[in-house]
Amino acid sequence: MYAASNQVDNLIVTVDYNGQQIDGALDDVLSLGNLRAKFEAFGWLVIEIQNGNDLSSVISGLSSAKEHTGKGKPICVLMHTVMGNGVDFMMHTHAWHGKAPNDDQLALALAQNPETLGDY
Amino acid sequence: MKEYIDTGKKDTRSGFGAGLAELGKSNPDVVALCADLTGSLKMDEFKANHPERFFQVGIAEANMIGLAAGLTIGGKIPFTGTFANFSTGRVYDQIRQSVAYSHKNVKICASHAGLTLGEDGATHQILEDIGLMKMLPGMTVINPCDYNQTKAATIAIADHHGPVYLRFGRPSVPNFTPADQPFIIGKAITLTEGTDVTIIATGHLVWEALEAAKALEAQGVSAEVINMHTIKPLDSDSLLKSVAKTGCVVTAEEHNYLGGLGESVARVLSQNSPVPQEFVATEDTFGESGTPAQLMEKYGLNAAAIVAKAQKVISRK
Repeated sequence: MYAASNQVDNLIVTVDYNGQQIDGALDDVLSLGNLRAKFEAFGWLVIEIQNGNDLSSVISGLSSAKEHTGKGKPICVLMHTVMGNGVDFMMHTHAWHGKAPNDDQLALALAQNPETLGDY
Repeated sequence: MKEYIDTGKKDTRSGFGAGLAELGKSNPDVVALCADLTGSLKMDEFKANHPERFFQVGIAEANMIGLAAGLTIGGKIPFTGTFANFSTGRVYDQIRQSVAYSHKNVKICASHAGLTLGEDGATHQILEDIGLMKMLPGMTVINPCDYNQTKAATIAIADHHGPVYLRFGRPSVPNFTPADQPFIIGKAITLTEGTDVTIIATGHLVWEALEAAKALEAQGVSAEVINMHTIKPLDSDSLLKSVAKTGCVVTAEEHNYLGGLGESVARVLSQNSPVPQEFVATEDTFGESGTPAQLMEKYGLNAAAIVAKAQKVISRK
């Protein structure tokens, strides 16, 4: 409300919209309804990234958001994502919202994502 | 006994407004935020003189605290203004998470504290704000006693780095401390010296404590009155020095006896010098609608109540 009312148009908010929360799927716990319409009703410009787990989609969505700055509206990037993306037993469930993997689960998860194993 | 003269009743919130206006001229880093109570908080002068440093956030106190926390990152010194109830209970989470935890340099300035808000009643009166704020690690808690001291405190907290809760009130009350006084955070002021009982008061109760001391003097009782304007950090040295002479204490505050000045004093006494203590405070109750004077009498927060508690505590020595 404050941002739109005061035309804070150099502000970009990113929503990691994964549809899960600690007690279950968001729609099973308490639906947010139409989140895009809600931001728009508050005077924000909304840009959606349909596949928020795809880096090129994220980069183009954020670039688009940046191009829309300075036009009188704060910007919301609604980034549709999958929590636990790339780890088959973590995806499409709320179960991992509030817990960390144990050593065995960690090894299993990292094995599914060998590109993340590197010399840091 | 040293005499204190009421130079004319004034509201402490106007002292805040005057202090803020002065800071507007003297400190370019000071910014002010208000949640739709600019007139009540007496922030109009700052707003008129420095519109680019004033943020009207609307009735959105949580957002106000978040904005204030963010403004500190760029080196600003934000002063937020709303009623004490909405400055603390309504936004405790934002103060805890966004201000206190990272020791942000936010000055939470709260008017209409306590019962003397008056007619608006219990929904708007807060009697637990000192407790809420003093429990937060790193938070400084100040409750000045009159217009002049509130003005001085407002100016002083701008030079203190860290979160501060500055509590003041709505009604016009006696203005008896010096104009342009230095304000030293955490340094209590001994107003009268005495030998029979120590009266430690804060906020609006300081004047009542002086009135009580006069009444006690007429009964042959010598009371030492201490203005404990800073509740946290508490001036333990002044407190202990005084009770070493008097051997008993009455604390007086416009707050619940749970979580207020009295409990802070009791902790210091129990650890260092256990002596009898009586509390002038509300007794775990909400307020109600009424004139300030009616409410202070009904809830036992005036000079007569202090006298009665002083007599009681002396009898327990």
